[in-house]
Amino acid sequence: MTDRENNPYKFYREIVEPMYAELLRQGIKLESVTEKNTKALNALARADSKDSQNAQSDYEIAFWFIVDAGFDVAQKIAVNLSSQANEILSDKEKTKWCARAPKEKVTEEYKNALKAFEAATEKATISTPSEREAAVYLFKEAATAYKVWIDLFDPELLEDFKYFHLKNAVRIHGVGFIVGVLASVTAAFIMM
Amino acid sequence: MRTTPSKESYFLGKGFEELVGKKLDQFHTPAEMEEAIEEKLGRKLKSVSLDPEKMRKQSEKIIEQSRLLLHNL
Repeated sequence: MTDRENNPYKFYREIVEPMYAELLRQGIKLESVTEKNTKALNALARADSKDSQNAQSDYEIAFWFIVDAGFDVAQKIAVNLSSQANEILSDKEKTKWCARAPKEKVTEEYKNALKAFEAATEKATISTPSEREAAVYLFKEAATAYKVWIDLFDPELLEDFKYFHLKNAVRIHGVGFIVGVLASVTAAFIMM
Repeated sequence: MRTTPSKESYFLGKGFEELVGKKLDQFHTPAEMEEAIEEKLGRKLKSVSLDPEKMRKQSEKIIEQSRLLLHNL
């Protein structure tokens, strides 16, 4: 069973499991993953009770259930990371002050991530099993590209940016207020 | 189909292993992984059911927004 191309065990171990671990770390579990994995395990159990020639179709069924589970996980991770990236990029100040890389690098890596995400999304609209398998790899690539992009930013600065921004705003407005009060007092004093 | 080789995804699985304190190969099913992380966090995780149509629309919206953001960068 280990030398077959569509090996459900291998696909699960190498592709689905690490991605699902990341999703769980983000605090999300997908109902469909457990469901599809159970169906795959049932098909594998059926295959194990048959001779190798008749087991072939059950192995195929198991493989495509695992691919389907992988598709859900990969798409969800890519969507989460791309949303996170856009949240950063939609704040110009945050993008400018929290980046640890030159602007050109930030732009270039973002373009790479977007290109990978577009390719994956396009592939995802075609629903043949092999296209879905290809989409799993593409979404995984897109997720990695977005993670590379997000890692160009200082995580602590990103986390604290709203407080930093607020503090800065208070400081600027506070100085303005004090200058205004001093100017009024001086003007009143001169007019006396 | 093996025409699209995946890039090495350096971050996948690492955070989970650090959080749970176990290697991924010690788990056999997704349910075991869910249980381990819930036990570690002391709470149930948010269970999400995916609607393919909603996911597709969300992806398209993200792409559209990304193009605009890139244009304004």
